[in-house]
Amino acid sequence: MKDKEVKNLGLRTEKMTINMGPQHPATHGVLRLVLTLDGEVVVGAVPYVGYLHRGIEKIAENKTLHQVIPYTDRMDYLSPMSNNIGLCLAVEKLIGFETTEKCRVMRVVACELARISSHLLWLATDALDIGAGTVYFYAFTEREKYYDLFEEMTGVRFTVSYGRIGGLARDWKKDFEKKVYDVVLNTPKCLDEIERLLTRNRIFVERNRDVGVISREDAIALSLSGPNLRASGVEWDIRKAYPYLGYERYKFEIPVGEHGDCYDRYLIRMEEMRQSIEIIKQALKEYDPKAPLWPEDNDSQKVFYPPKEKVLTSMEELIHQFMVATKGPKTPKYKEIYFCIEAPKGELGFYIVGSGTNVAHRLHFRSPSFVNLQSLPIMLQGDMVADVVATVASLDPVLGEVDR
Amino acid sequence: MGDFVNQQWGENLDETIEKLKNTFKKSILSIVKFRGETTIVVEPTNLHNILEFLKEDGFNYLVDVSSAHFPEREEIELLYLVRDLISKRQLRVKTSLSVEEPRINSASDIWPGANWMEREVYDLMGVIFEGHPDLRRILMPEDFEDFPLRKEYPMEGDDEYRNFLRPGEGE
Repeated sequence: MKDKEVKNLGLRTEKMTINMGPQHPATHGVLRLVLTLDGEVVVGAVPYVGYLHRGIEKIAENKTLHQVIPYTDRMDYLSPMSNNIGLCLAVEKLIGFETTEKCRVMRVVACELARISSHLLWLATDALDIGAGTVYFYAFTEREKYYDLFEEMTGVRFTVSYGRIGGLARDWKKDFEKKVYDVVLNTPKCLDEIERLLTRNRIFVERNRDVGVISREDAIALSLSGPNLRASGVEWDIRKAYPYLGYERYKFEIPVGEHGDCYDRYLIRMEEMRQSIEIIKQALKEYDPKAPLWPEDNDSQKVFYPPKEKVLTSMEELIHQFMVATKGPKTPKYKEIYFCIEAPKGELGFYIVGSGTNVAHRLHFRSPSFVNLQSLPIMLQGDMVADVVATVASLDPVLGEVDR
Repeated sequence: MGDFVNQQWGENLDETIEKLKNTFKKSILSIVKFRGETTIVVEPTNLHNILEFLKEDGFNYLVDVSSAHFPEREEIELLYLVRDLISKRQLRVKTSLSVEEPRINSASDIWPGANWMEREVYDLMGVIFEGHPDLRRILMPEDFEDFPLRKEYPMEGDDEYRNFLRPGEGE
């Protein structure tokens, strides 16, 4: 019935304000939404964030740069690998040093493994929010294999702290690359299985298509990034635009959507996982287990960790390791850099101002989830209240990163 | 191997900078290049016009708004990082505001995406954006009074959030 008809019948209508979250299973953390509803239609949505604010930027101004690395794990806790490595790359850019070839290859593999594991978790929770409970178990079984890889790679499953300025915390064990290869080779089977369950599933399509739409122009104007921007039809990927870690050498495609709705965002992330697998396969071919992980020239060794074998046998390097671990590299005074990587959620940027000491004067994170979340009111406008859950899930926010 | 340390922020930036210099003359204070990045330092009074000019020049994407406090100069630096998604140019526009009265025109009418980014700067650094549609605290509690990212704000305190000791207080 139209508004007028309702009024003619003498019925009283009014808008209703309801609160969703911060404790709500479908908000993926502590997101609070205040929804204004006209019947079942959302006419306004105001997100409230900050329930998980820990002041990481303030803490980072008072810690040495190596000490900041574990804090970045707790930002986007679903892909700590790419956060660590992004920070390390940013610091390396500020102090002007590059890492070895082997380190770059290992970082690419680590970053892409993080992307797949993060997208698998998104897939599980997105499907669960819409009501497809089975997918949750399939995706988590697959994700478990990736966490086993992380465990073997770093010794930790969740908050890995694997990055070090100039290198990585430890070398891979013998034949580890073959294990990675085996795992990524089997993932497409799992993805195929899940796609058979979802992609043409009538219920899933109806719940996702033309829901949470954001146009190409709005997406650019609102600074969306990552898969959410690409789903709106913008071909933009930091890995292609400003290549880092040698991404320009790997062949991969950027999936681009058309409609900017939840269904496109689903398709894009599914394809991104397959592309990541391709990148990992190419990177593993270039992996040389015998090459050095840390740079061996003298200049670099004053900034980065010395090779572990030398630390255990030579006095000089032992002292050196102690100095690097306790003090870390000096940053140039009041010089500033911005460095961004394509994290699973979007563009993760680091703005660092040097202080002349080993502590950054200012360390600002441009976190993708925070910026992505501000387009939620536009996406929800005019949708049904049941679509709120689907839209929030498809946006893939991680509140640890939003609130920092 | 791509030299990422000195990766350039777009190739035809000089043209844009020349045009900016011709249009705004004295408002452009200096141009800093470091590690392939270009920063233009501008007068706060003309910041909004310069950002509008850049938007028309093709910088359609606002990447980031950030700030830094420099206590010895008693200044807060405010930075807008803008990007052209087509030609991949990037540019950082920087301006200095006094700590006592950090006021500036909001850029959220140029890029709606500036909304939350500026709210974050207001919340943590205390810069007041005039003409901002919704200038409220975003990360800190609504009744919070201080601006934690300023350098004088202490790292430690003895209460949950309100009763932190200021320097010189207590004991």
